[in-house]
Amino acid sequence: MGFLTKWLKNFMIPKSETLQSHDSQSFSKVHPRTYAPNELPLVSTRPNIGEDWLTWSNEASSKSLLKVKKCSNHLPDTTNSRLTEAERFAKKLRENRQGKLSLSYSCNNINQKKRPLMLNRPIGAISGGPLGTANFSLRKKPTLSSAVLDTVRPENFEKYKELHTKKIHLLEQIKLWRQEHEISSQLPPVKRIQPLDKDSKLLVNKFWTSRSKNDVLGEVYRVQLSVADIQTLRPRAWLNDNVIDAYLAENSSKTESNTFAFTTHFYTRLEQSGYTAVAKWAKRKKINILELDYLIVPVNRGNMHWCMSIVDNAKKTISFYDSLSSGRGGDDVVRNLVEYLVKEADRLEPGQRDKHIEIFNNYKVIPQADCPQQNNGFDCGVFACQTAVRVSNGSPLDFDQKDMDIIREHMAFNLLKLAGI
Amino acid sequence: MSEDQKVPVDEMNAQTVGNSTPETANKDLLQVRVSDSNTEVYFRVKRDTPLRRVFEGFCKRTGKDMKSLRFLYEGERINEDDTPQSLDMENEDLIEALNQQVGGLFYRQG
Repeated sequence: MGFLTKWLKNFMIPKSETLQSHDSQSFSKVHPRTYAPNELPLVSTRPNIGEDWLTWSNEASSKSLLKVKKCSNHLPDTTNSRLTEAERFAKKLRENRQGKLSLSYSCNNINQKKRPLMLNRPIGAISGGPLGTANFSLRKKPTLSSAVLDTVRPENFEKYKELHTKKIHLLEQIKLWRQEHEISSQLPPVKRIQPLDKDSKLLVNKFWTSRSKNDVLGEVYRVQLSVADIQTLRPRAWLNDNVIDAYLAENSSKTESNTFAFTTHFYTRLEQSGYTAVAKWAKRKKINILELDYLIVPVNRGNMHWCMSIVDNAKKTISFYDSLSSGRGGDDVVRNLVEYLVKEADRLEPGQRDKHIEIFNNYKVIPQADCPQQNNGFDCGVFACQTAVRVSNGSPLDFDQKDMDIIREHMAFNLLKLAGI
Repeated sequence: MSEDQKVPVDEMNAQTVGNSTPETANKDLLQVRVSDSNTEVYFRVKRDTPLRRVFEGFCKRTGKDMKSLRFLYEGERINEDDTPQSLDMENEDLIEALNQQVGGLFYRQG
């Protein structure tokens, strides 16, 4: 105890020197100043985090003993963040003091109750040392998380800065490359679609809210549509294969161009088992793929996502449309389709394999075609359908996310009409 | 009849569906295969029997819900009232039982 009192005496700074004043001018007169080890504050001091200041006060007298100006949290290039400040302080304490110290961080935020929020990660320099464990409780949500604080260290910051400049450099290069190759997005301006009239809306809503989900409404192009299928067109719902099959089949019979849409299971089977699994499909439908204008192949990705691929025999392109362009792209789809087309052409005109390979090698493949993008997790089926409809009708892709709810209503209404409601 | 011994025949459905004498069996009955990716079930059906019976048998056998399955014959949807005759099915033809597909978004992998 004698040692403690001795140390305490050392710390008795005259009142004039204590840093109680909150204005920075008087503070800067005294600060910066180095503290000799014996000058450091004593047991149970609490660094308090204020708006701009870190203060350490003597617990007994609640006098401010030390006050350090906090550095801005937004400047990662400084080592003097408040935790490192505290860390350094505690380190000094540990070097010079023995015995127990409870160091706690608290925040002077009057708006919140004095409920300490523990930081999950104890600061290594302080915890578990001879001084005991330090208790960092932050009442105010720190602007820098502990993870970020790690990167604040100067050596990490250098790394980060280097990576950042690299990234910016790369992005600029990509931009330039796109400009050179004219791969800028050239989507047409959006034309808003008119909503349904009142009566039709009521009809659609009647089936969307119906509870008898298993009722079969009717047969549309050999697809038996039930109420549950129509309900997959409700806003925020995921579309199922029945709806997409029926809608695309209706479109290909209605459109002026010579279009054929495969069922959604076509690509899945082709991907799983190759050409043999689907060899008879086009024959059964009496389709000659070489005479078609558009061959529409809906693609289901892992029972999670709908995409669309379209073979355009006039423009000689095979495009893959994904309404989430951050997805994995359509390289595999395009490749599988070319393989299918060659083999299918072989079936139609046997013995001319080389010629067919040459034909389809001349097709331009677009594994990531420009198309309107979804910004949620449920509209991709609608986007895929609309893309197919617009392309097969030769109209521009002039819709976007805002139209989705109206398009869903239209699709549901069309299907209901087709089912004979 | 020797053919029946070679392939696994769903006896239950062979009885319920093909209710005929062995003499007429060769003319009227045909065998169809129903397969999802895991199991393949053989059924003996009359040419004019609605395939609903086959689907029901398949669902009973695999424990799947009929509403979640799509039955396709050469890429064409089969409805419950279709018969082998209306589809021009031949002996040993395959009916694919495919799962319902849905989709809304794609999580980027990795």
